[in-house]
Amino acid sequence: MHNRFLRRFKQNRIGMSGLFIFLFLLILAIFAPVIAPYDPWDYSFGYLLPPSIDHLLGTNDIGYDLFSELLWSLRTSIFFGISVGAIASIIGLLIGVSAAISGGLYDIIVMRIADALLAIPTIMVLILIAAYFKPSTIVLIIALSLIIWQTIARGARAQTLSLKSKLHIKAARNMGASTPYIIFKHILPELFPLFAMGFVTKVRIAVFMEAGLSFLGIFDPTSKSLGIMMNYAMRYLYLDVWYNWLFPTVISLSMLIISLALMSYAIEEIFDPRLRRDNIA
Amino acid sequence: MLKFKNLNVQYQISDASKASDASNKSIIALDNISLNVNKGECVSIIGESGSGKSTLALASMKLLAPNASMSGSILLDDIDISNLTDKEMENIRWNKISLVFQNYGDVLNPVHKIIDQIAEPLIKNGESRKVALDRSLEMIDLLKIKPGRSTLFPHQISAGERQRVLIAMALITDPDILVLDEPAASVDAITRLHLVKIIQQQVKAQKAVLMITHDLSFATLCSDRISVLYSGNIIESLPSAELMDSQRHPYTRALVRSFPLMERTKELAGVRGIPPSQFPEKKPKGCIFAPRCTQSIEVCLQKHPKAKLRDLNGQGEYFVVCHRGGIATMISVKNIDKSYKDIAVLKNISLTLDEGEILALVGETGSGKTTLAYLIAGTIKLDSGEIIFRTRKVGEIDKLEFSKKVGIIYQSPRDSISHRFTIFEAIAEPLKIHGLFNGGSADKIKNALREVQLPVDEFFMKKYPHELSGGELQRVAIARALILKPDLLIADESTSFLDPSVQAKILKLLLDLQNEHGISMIFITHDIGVARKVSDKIAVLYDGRIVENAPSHQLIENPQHEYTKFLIDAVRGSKIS
Repeated sequence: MHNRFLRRFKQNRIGMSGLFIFLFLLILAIFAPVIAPYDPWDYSFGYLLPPSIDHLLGTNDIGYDLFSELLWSLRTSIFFGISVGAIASIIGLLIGVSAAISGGLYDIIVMRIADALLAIPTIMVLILIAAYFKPSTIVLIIALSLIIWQTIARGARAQTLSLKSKLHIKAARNMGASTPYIIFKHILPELFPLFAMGFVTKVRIAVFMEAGLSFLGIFDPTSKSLGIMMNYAMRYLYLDVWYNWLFPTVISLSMLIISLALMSYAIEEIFDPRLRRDNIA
Repeated sequence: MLKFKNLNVQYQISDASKASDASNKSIIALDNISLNVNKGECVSIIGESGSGKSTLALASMKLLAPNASMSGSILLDDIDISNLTDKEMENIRWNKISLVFQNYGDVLNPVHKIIDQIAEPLIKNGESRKVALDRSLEMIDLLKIKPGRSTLFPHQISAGERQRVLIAMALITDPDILVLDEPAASVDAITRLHLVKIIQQQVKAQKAVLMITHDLSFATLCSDRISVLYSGNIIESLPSAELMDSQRHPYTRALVRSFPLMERTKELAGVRGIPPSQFPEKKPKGCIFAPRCTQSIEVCLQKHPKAKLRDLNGQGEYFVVCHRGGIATMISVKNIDKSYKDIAVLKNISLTLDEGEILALVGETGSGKTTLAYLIAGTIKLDSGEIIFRTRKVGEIDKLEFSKKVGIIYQSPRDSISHRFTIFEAIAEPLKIHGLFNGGSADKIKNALREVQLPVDEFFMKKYPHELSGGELQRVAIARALILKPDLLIADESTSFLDPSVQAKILKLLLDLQNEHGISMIFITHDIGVARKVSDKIAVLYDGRIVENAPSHQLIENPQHEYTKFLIDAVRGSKIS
């Protein structure tokens, strides 16, 4: 499996197209302050202007430039998604590996917590938290991360357990290797594909969650978000604004989620030989 | 009787081309030798070439080359010949003492018939020519030289016959003391046996016989005592019955391992390294054998060891010159038990492993071989009993420190080497783990690769395990196991998955490396056929117990336990019913 992961990913057309779409959106998000023609909080333009050279997507009901707002909303979504993805997968990896390595009571306790979390409907918990505590984005990122790490932890634990009994790791131990050495040199490199897949999946979930919650209006209404944009656009559906307001927003969100889904599909295919299309033998 | 007392012999070397740097260079041939050969006994001197054996033989007749200088005394009965003049020696040579010269092409006079040459010492002693020639014919008969050959010239007879002519010359005067220098070197096995009989007759006739030989089995057949000469020093003196299986000095053991003994099953291996320089200023400061020894410790390099006398019921003067009192025990396992949950894997196991020894653990799968080896390596804990490594208990030695002393080669290198590591990284791993990876490590790794006969170019070192064949990869595993210069090597079924040709090469490599590094080895195998080619001792495990533990050739030739017999028969494929 070694090193072949990246090579296989490069050969995978689905994965690569997902990656390209994601990178395109990521660049837009990162350079939003440069690319966006106007300040997204500047409402000094006319109301509900149709698309023109000045305003590529026109303006909204209170005079925001929609194109600028879209770029900034994308920025929020991707930032939220990547943060949650990174935090949740790192927590999952830490807990999974440490549970497998140490075993005993610690293993039992954290894995029971993971099981409990699996049973909790994430979206309901998040709605409750957001509605009652009105937390900031950062707190929400952490809250979401704390309730979706369990699948990664379970995967990491299972794989570490099977790695632990591998002969080359036993050999390293017999050579006198310390546990940190084994974890960093032998176990973590092997867990990279699992980490990559977990990360992409969690990013996708987080992006979707963020959009959904802000669409429901539970989020801070002054922040820029694809969900909020959709929410507002829906109010003016009776006007003929869907093509420049709702449609670009929905397309952006869909592209983001689809790109992530394509990547995780590709990783899963590389990971699981049974899904491999070139698996003829 | 013949007695050497504090005998020293040095050869002056006057090398004209190097006269400027050292006008009076000398090398030490014999260093403080004391040896008694009593009446009615045969003493053998064994040792590698260049150890001073022939010098000792020549010294006993005062026939040393002109550039030799001698001190100490040589007593023939009560006469100290070291002070005698050449004239006085004339009366003693061939009369009281005879020497059988080493059989070079030119020791016999090419213009005299052999019957005359055999008679010559007798004629010199004043015997009449007629009687001398009759005696000569008797000797020719005694030594089974074909009768028709008595009138031939030395170049017309074979080397084996010339050897017997030399012996006949020595025996014809019927001396009290007989010195033989390599008498069996150029004779066939059947003649050799005849020579054994002749020497035994001489011993029975109350002669003192000193025999110089490198033929160990000839030495044990002829003599009562054996002294081992190494670089001009006697380093061990032992009863000949102990030579083959219970020698005490590591050098003696190395000699025995080099000797093609008929019943020996293990592959031959020379004494590792090369003999020390004989220039006094370049001699090792401590024990002369230390650089080649398999068990040298700090003190061996510092101080010259003293002879440790061994008391064998007061008989003879047996001793071993070694700081460690002879071959030392590296590991002793005492009454250990081990069980996994309710399953008892090892029951009351005791065994020892000497320094520089190869022990094979043989038994069917599940008999506890691997568990025993890993208990010794300290990677798993034992339930009861104790394992002592040199002087310390295995459990009490720091794990990191101990893991440096034990190298392990596993059954499958594909599993034991991470597929993520290049060959270079795989061999570097133990160095990295022990914090020893530095600028010089690349050279170390290249050397290790050379030792296991693998290429050392960048291209090869950057390959990944899956690009190598099983045999190549096992070599990498061996290099990795040896990179920290361990004292003990454990090979856990390391060759059983290889095809016979590759297995043969790996086994040979493993044995060579074990010999060159001078380390101990535990060789785990289910194949007693492989074990007999590799090991000095075999321990047979059955159901968690050692049912038999003996030197390999004894165990194969004469198995004591039913299970061992069964195992050997199973390998032979006989008794299929």
